[in-house]
Amino acid sequence: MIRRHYLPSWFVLRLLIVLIIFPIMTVKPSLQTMIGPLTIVGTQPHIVGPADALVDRMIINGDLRVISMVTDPLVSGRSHERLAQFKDGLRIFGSEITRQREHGQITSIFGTIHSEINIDIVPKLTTQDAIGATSVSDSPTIATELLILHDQNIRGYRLVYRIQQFSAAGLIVSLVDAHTGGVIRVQNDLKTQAMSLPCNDCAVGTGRGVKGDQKKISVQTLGGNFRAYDALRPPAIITYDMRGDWLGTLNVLTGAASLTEADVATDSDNDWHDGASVDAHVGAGWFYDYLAHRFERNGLDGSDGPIVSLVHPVHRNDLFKVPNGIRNLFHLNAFFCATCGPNGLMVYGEGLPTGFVLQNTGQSVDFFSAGLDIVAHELGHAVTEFTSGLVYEGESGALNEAFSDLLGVGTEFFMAETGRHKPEQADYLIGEDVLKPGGIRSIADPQSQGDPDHYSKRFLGNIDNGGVHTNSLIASHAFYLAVEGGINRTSGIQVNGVGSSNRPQVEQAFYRAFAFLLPANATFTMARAATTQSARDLTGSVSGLAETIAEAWSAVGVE
Amino acid sequence: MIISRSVRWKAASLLAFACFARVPQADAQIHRDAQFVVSANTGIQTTVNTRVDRVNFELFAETGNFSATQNLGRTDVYDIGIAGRVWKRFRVGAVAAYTNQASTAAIDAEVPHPFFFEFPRTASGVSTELGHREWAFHLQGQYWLPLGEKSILTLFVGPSVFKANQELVTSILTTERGFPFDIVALATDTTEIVGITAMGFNLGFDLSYFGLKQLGFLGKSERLDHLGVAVTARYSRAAPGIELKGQFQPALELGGTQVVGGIRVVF
Repeated sequence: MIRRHYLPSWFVLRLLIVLIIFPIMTVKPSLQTMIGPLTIVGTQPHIVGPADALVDRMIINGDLRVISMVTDPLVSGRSHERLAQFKDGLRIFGSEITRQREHGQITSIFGTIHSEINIDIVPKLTTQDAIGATSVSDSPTIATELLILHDQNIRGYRLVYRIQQFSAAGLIVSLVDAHTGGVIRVQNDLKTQAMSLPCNDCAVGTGRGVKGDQKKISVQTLGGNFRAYDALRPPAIITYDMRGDWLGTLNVLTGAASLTEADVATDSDNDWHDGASVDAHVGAGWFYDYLAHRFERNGLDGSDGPIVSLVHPVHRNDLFKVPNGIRNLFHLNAFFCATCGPNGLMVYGEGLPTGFVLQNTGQSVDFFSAGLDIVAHELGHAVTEFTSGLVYEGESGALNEAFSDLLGVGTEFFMAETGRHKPEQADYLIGEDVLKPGGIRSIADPQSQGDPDHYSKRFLGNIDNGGVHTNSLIASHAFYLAVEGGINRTSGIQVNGVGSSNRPQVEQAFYRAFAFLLPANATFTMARAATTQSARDLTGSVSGLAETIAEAWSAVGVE
Repeated sequence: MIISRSVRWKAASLLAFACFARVPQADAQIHRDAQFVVSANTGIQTTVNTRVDRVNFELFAETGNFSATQNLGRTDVYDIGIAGRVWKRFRVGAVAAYTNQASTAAIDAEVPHPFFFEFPRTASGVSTELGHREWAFHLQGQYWLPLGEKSILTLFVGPSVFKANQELVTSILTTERGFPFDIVALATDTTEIVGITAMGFNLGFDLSYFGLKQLGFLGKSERLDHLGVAVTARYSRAAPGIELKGQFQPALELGGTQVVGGIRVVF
């Protein structure tokens, strides 16, 4: 049955809440409504109470469904609930609510609720028709979903197919109008950088990374050889050496072929010399360690799911023998493909041959796994994928990128400062060990790399999914200011940071906010509220951490 | 065999009494004219030695180490000896002394981490009943002096040959507790008895009393003129170097200060 004039009872309640709450808000509205979606930023009781009642009502009506519930490992007694909005059984793309509970009581709510959705939910196109309408219709289709999209351009709603296809250009996500067949949006969804031992076949070897630093590598013995399979850590951490077979790699990513035992990186004497394999394999383990120690998180998915990495997806010297798309994908890229394999796949690009540099920056490009911050950044996308699922476009996409950068920086400092890898040079540059000199981003000084350090300077164009990389610096620079302090070059606002010795607290505050408190379609404003709320949850109101984080957000122009 | 503390006290009291009691003068001075003196003693070795053995081992592509700290405390000493007159008051003697003890060693280990270089875990434990057995063969040049009618003070010095067995911790086994592998426990250790022979020296004095017959309580037999009691203070030492798993260790301290008491038979 098609209801063209859908007016649920919760909508009436919403209006009541808006009418009641707006007049009593003293500072600025945190529960905002426009034409269309209702945005909830609830950290104060007078917002949380009515919003919670609204959410409960919607759950009863079946308009909100719980999609995850996790116990907070960092703050005792806290749990986080994530709810997705549905209409007549169809998910509303990116519409989520997160609720934080403290011993059953709601302490914060963030999210967006859509209403007045007056569209025909019976598609005129079949799934195959929609796939045929995409620009990469010949590429393997990984997933399709019929959902409702809130389209800012028409200030209304569309019934769309969301189609994920893997092509040489990457993981292409197309939104196709289910009635007209028009392609509304196409984006590349690859999150990129532009002992007695407990098992009989475990072994610890040595290896040298791309930079020549010596590392221990946890491997497995098999038939007299050693394979890059870490069985010492709780998740299976496996590194595959694609040996330059770019077509084979592409087939693995598209699901046309499976990884085999023969693809696993091996070594005959357990003294590993392939730096790319060593760095990828060891780096994945180190990132797991960082998550476990800093956030008490069990791996990428929180359940110790496997971490699979692919190195040498192409021969470095085949730079001019492969199609342009492959060059961009496998030479000049590192990415986490969330929809590949059972738990996602990490692919590390090969870099450029010696003597070649990037035309626009003059930088050389090494194996991408050489950068621990890049390894952690990309695997950080998996954490996002398994938690908040920040939509990879616009502000939520920028927050997605910023979160990964914070995890990358955090992992470097964790390894260096705890003495786990003394040669590690921890800093606030991203990718400096791969793209030399200078790396690709500086969260300490975004302007030095041409990125915005203030919300007023944010990129408003469409490329790069709405500038997710460049705009991420607004959030990550706020993180930097909260830790190290300093003066924002645009606003001139000075922040007294909590100091590098307290960096773990800031990392935890941001992690909790980005992983648990933020909804998939979060905004910078939500991120500010969520990180300060998270800081209060962690340290109470006396530590000043929440105030410092709020000052940092103000310095970058986010209120 | 263990001589109880009370028996040793009795022997010491008897000796003190024998030395200082005012007794009638002896009729004969057999002890001064004797060609040979046979001795048998028991007592204690007062020297306390602490030895620390440190052993390196390879684990997880890195070198770890452990130390075993053993206190070798006071222990019982037994010896027998014989000396023969060579010229006037000079004698040449030989003494065989024996000690045997066992003590606990504290083990402190630095165990390499399976994931990281230079990030060792610490583990502690003990190894119990580590044995230390010593045979010392002392050759002595002796010179005696009369102290009154019944007592003799003998001074001696000479080389010693030590034959010792020292039980040492040679390796340890640890138990991993799983991820994150930051804690490791000492599971067990293996030991090895190192046998060693070394040259050293000894010196000291012996104070003997031969007036037992005059005391009366042992009877009046003439044979008692050949029997005496004595106390000996002896210091001996040898410090041979030892190796463990091909690694040099601190020298093994042998001997020490010993105070013993016993009987003397002269003829």
